[in-house]
Amino acid sequence: MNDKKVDWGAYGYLFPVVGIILCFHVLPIFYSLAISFYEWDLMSDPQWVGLDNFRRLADDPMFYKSLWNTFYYAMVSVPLSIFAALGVAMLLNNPISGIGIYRTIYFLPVITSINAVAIVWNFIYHPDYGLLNKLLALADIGPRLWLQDPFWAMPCIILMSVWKGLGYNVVIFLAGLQNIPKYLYEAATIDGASRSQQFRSITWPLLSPTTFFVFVMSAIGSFQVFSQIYMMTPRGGPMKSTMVIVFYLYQKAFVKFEFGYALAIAFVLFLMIFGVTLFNKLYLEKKVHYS
Amino acid sequence: MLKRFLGLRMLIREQPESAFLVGVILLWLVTIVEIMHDDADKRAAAMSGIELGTRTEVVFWHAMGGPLGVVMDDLIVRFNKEQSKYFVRGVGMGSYDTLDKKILASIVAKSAPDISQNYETLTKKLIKAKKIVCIDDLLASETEDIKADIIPVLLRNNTYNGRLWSFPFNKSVPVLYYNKDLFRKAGLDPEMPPRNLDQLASYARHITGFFRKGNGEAAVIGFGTGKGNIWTFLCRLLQFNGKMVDEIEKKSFFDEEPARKALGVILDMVEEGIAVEGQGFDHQNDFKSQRVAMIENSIVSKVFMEAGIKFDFGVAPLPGAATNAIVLSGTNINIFNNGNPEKVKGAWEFVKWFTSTDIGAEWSVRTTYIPVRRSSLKSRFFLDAMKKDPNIAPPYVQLDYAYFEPRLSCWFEIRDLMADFLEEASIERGPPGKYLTKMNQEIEGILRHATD
Repeated sequence: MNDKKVDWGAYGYLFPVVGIILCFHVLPIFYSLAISFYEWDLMSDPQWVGLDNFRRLADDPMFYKSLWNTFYYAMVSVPLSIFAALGVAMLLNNPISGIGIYRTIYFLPVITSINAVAIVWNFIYHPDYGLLNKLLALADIGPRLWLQDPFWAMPCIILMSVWKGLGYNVVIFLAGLQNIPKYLYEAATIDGASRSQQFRSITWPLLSPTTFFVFVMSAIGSFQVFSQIYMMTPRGGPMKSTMVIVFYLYQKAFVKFEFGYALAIAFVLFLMIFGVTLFNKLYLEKKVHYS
Repeated sequence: MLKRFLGLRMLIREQPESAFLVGVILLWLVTIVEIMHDDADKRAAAMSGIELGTRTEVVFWHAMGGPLGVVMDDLIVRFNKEQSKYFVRGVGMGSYDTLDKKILASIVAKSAPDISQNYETLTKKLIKAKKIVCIDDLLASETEDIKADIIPVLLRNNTYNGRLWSFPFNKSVPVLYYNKDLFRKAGLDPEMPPRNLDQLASYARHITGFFRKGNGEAAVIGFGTGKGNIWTFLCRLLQFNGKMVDEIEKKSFFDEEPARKALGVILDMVEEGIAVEGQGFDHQNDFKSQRVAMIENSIVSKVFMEAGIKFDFGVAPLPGAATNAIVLSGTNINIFNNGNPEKVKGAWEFVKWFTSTDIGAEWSVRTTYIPVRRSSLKSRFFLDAMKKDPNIAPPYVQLDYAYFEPRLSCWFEIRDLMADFLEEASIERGPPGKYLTKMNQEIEGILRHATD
């Protein structure tokens, strides 16, 4: 006799989330893939073009530029945000007075709207009235055009993005740091290990699951960067220096109404993120100490 | 009561997950009720005491924000009060860009508005997709010859293959703003703004030099404009007797002398240090803060800048070259064919009313957009306003030599491309030919593949 009881309550709890994921994630992925084989401007019926959109993509210099810019953003912003967050988390892990206030301050940018943050940073970077150039002037350094300069535009966006996301990673690292047993540090201190030796032999290896999680999430996020680019360099930056892949996709879809082509880009982006995440899972995860 | 309260406590203690779920659902319901209540309040405000009753509702999507939106809302309310058959519901979409996207999405979703402001490129697509009503068909039942009263360039702008498919609505022209106080200080006649590009450069040189500090730094720059400004580049191209594109031959003319002159004139001024190019509206802010003495901008910017200007300023026609040609900007009105003739009638009644002689004059004076009808320019309202504010007049002088941009479906793609090249030229400041030759080739590439 089968005495297993079906827990309908569990299905009830699952239903809203599964429904949302199916409707707004799974179905659009397949629909997007289908549309990428068509030419479609929304106004007229989609025209079947087979693999033409993908062939066009292979010959599109702006697609390669956007790919390069995306990798540039990812290669700089991911390590920077990991090390900055780890540093701040280690500082905030000390028993100092007013620690709650510091933790709140670091977390504030995370809960602030990216649009509001971007407007504030636009002021900071303004060539004539911006805070950054005013500070540089105090050190007798001439003004820079920042977001209007093809060389500086991307570093400016990266700096703002790292600052904006710092608090989130700090919280995760803090949790990771607090999970490391205190007795390991006590034993190391008794054995005469210095602070840097303790970091290398205890903190860094035992923090690796946290670092791995932060790395994977930051890498995925960096491939999807969009809002700050749109808000701070609305045309993709001077000489397209901040034209990242999602922004290019957006322009093709919602400015030029080439939905088929835009969705071909989206599918390539999906494959890229999938590939990077798979690499992280199969290769990098081997270097993670889970206990 | 006490029993019920104890029951709730028991639920929380024994089944906390279920209690949490119930709590979330309750919170959700409260939020929905509050949103519905707020929407009802907003709807009541838009009705301004008008009973919808048997009126036909006409939905109007527009992109008029800030002070322009205030005038728009005011006029919509007046139309709704002045008649009892229709109720126009104005929906501000924030920007033209958003409006464009929403129009396309609404067509896919089969929920298009009844009227909307659109650029010519979208109008062309809407004609092709048979989504809009031909204005000529609506004019056919009119007793008044409305077409004869429309400003000719606006009429041409809205006519496609000999038929009027859209109705002129909010068109603007570029003008020169200049700081009369700085002119006086620099010994220039404040009633004699520069008339041509040579004079513009010479005035800018004089002003920049006059306000130069002991350390050589210019406290005031003579002239300011937007970085890679396509609109004024096209104006200058026509002023140097240039052409934009040949829609039939699929040819563009940006790799020719007039285009090189049009681009070179600004690059040279920037290189000399007598002009600055700002991002977005930076040059507008520079003018308000008296950092630059003259700027070129849309006449509509006057409405946005005026409150922040603390000095005596003048508005003049855009300085010309071989000709004084200028290019119009702004949108027109499309009436959608949503299958309800009564809505189409209501939409047409509203458009007629809004662009009529007196209302058109009022709209024009309050927003600085060009009125649609010639009779508006001669109306008492308009003439009185011009007496009060002489800065209102200059845009209308330019109507005799106003042109409009090509109405190709791919024109915005071409514009986008031009913006990239003009920006590159502005950053590198190399010889104009370096950018224009490649720009022209790529534009011709787009034209070749374009369907019209």
